[in-house]
Amino acid sequence: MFRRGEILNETYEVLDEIGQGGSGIIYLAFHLRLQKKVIIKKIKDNYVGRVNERREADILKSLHHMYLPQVYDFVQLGSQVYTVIDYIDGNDLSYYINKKVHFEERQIILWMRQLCEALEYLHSQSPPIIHSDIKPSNIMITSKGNACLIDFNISFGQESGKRISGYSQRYASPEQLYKSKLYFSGGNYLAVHVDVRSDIYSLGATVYHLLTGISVSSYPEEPLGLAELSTSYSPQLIHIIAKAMQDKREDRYQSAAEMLGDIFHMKTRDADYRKLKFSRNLIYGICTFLFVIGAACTVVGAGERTEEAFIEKYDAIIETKDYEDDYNVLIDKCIDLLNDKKYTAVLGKNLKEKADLLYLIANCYFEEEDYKNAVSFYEKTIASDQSNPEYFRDYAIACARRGDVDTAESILAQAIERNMGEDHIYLVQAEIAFARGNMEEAVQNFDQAISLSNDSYLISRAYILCARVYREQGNVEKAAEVLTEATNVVDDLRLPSILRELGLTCLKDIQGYPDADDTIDYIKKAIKCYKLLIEGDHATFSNYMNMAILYQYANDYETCKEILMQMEQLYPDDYRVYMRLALLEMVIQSTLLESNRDYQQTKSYYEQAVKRYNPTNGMSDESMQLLETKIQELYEKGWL
Amino acid sequence: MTFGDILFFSGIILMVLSMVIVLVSMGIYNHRKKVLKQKLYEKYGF
Repeated sequence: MFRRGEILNETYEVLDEIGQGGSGIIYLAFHLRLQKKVIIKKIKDNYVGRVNERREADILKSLHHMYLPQVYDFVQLGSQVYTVIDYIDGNDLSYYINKKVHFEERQIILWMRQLCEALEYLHSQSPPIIHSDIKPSNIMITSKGNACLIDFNISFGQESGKRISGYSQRYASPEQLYKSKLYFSGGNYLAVHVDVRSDIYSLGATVYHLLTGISVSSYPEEPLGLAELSTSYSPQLIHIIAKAMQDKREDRYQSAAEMLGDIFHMKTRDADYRKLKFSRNLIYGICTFLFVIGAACTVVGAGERTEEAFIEKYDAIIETKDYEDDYNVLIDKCIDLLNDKKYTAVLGKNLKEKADLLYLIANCYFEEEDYKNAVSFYEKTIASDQSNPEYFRDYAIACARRGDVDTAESILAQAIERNMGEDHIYLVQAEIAFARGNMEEAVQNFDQAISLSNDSYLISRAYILCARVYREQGNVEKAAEVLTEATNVVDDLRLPSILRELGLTCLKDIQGYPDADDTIDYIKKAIKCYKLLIEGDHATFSNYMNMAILYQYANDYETCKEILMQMEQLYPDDYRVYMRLALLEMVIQSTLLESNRDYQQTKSYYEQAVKRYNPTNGMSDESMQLLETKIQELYEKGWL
Repeated sequence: MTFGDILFFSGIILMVLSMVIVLVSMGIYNHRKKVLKQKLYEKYGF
């Protein structure tokens, strides 16, 4: 015991006796060198031997934390060891508890944060420092309102956990109490280990006391839950205290840092905060869902629109009935559509439509008798879609027309494998027989195809091909007879192609045998065909021109000129109209007496034709060459 | 108006609508969050 004014160790002047600790009297002293107040406190006897160890003394002196008092020194006076620590101006927590002061939650949270930080600091030392006696009287509240954890005289490294250390009954963890019980009953207390989680428990018990005003030991069996004690504190805080005070160490916070983390998360666990977050997430979720649906609709819709645009163009091409004037226009349209990059994906999906377009191109080349290209496009058609036996049929026919009979037969075999109809098979076989020069077999097969088929297209095609066989044989009469029969059989849709073929058959016969007896009959028949075509919405250039030529053959120059003048109105840029007019004018003048002939009109038409004539790809028109020769003759003979 | 047009334009309307809702709700949320932050600070002290 020291007297007031006594100088200890030539450094500390004892000012006053300020209290009694578990180990003895606590003195307020004045540090003569530092010129500040300090606390001098006796260390419990059972630690004396240990604090003399320099290493542990250095550890305690090296601790620097805002919420821990600074340990300045250890003083040995006789057999007693005293610790010199910072003087903290304020009261300890037990002072407020005894006065039953009610603290706001934010104040308690602040102290808990500070104490957790202090514990985290102590526990992070090497070796970890276990306080082991956290209780209200060891927590000072400074004049600034901060918490400060004091009383380190029993807080040495974790090895101390093997010993029975100082603790307070009301705040000690179950393992500390058990260890103590073993110690006093002579049991193996060293087997019970005290670690950082004991401090966590004590801190929880301290705060429990602070919140409820009741210490844990008031309920020797088991402390009542905070919720049952109907405190006015938040469920998050109650949850943290409850978790810190779990009987089993593994159920508690495993470190002060973990507990501190939970304290910091209290805000995010607040009901209002969670409600706000939930409503935000709900709205974001709904909006994301709507956005995804919208994006999906846009993408699918864009695809649909492209497909619809494609189908519209496709239908426009497919539904166009009459391209006999210029198949190149149709070919170009199909190729443009097939090569349009916008529709690459659509074409990849709609293979049938792609095949139809390729088939149409192939058919155009077929009609133009360009069988090489026709075969090439039929191959592409089949590569896109093999479901339609008609593709195989026409492919085989094109091969036969090209003279590649073996390939035609092989394709026919594939078509038969795909269950192609018997009528179609006969049609192909007829073409193959025709290509082989076996006309009789060809005609027989055509007849079979016509008799078996209900397909108007196939029937009309068989008739046309059959007529061509007869025409090849020079039997124009039979060809015309077959086509005339066809006009009575086929439907209105296929009639124009029959009429066109009949007109052409007659015209070729007339051109071949202009002085034959039956020429006038053929002319009449052909004119009738072209009239029907023109009146039946097939007023094409070739139909007009063929009809004009037929009238010229019939020596009806007036009607011929009338038709050509009509064509001049319809096709003002086509040189062939003027060429034909010049030739007609030349014929008309040749029928007049030489004295009455005037070739000025012929010259005028010729000049008009030359103006519009533009031979493409070096291909010149034979009729134009003939006209030029004749005009040259007129010059030579002095008519012009 | 084709099916594709309906799908495409309704998709765009849905996307725009959802973005408008997000923007408006973000504004409301930020305001409410500010108020709540103050309330929570008073309650928890941080």
